[in-house]
Amino acid sequence: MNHDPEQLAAAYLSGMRSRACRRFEDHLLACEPCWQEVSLARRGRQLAETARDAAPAQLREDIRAAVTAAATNPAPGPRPLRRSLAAVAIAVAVLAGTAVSVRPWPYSRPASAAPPAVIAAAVTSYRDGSLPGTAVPAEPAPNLTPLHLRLAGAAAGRLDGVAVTMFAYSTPSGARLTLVRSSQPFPEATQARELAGTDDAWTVRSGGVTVICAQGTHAMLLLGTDAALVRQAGALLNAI
Amino acid sequence: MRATLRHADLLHTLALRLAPHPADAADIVQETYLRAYAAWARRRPDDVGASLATICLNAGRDELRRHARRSVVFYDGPVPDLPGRADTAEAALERLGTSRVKAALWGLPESQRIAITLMDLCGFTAAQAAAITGAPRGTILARVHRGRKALALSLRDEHRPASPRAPR
Repeated sequence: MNHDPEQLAAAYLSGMRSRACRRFEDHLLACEPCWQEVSLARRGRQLAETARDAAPAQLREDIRAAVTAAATNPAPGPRPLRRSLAAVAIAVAVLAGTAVSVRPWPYSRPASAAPPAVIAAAVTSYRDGSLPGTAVPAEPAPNLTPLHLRLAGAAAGRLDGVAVTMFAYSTPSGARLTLVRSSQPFPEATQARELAGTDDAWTVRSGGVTVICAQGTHAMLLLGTDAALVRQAGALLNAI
Repeated sequence: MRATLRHADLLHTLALRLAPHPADAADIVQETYLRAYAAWARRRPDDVGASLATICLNAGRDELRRHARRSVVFYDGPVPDLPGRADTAEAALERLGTSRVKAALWGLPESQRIAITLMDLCGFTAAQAAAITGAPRGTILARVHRGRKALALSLRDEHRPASPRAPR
């Protein structure tokens, strides 16, 4: 039989018509190359299927909030979206049924209230995995090992003109957290929410990054995509 | 909204194969929904899942281009999902295995990685994957097949081999 095992196996695994399928299965028992092709591809499919990831619950909330904000604040934000009024009207109509479950924070305030430049620079620095300079910090890195956070980088420098010291941490599982300290207080983001049980700490979520700011002797920013980890770090440092 | 949010898992899985940073993947998914609501102003597509995946793929490619321009200092690409101290031995081994599969997926050519993600992880048919990517169905089948084989071969030493051939 003149055949291409790769092509046949690919077609077989994607679902042949029943008659062709039966014919190929008969052939499979007698043809070692085709058997190997099918076995290997089946194994690969099994392995690939283990890599499915469920979306974090927070992501659904973020999507609801973002679409709500897009519907209520058509002003151009950091992402230039080609939104028409009709699209906004449809989004409002679609969301009307789920309005009760929509969380107002952090997107319900005007979209034009972008975070202050230094906060935005800190978020960008966190997301890019970059440090604000190359100078060696004058202060030691706070110990966050109880949270399995180990120091990955540290530097003193400037974020949007503000002198800061930055410490970057990561866990063995890849979660990252960045700590930014400054002798100057950080400006509060317009979309910020006060942290319950604290005097002057606030939090905001920007571009998927949770930011907690505490204004103690030194102003401190904690940034990370894992909101729980950021809070735990704040508590460990007695910042919140 | 509920009807489209049920596709969030699928889009998140796809976005994670397009952007190495979980935060970027979350942004891609969010961007996908925003673009979808803007694009569906006049008419809702018949196949919502496939349409969302198409938008996600484009948003992800934009993100890949942005990511390529960034200077990364201490984090570069996916970090193996190593077990923490609190894990049980079984859970730790399972997570380790999954993280190797994910790392191996990143080792595949982009076209194969996307084809495998669409068909094996997201559950699209070859015809849907062809419509999403704009490639012919036969090309998608070949990419998926070669990707699956490469994945199996790259992890052959780390996982149990396939069952021995049954006697005729």
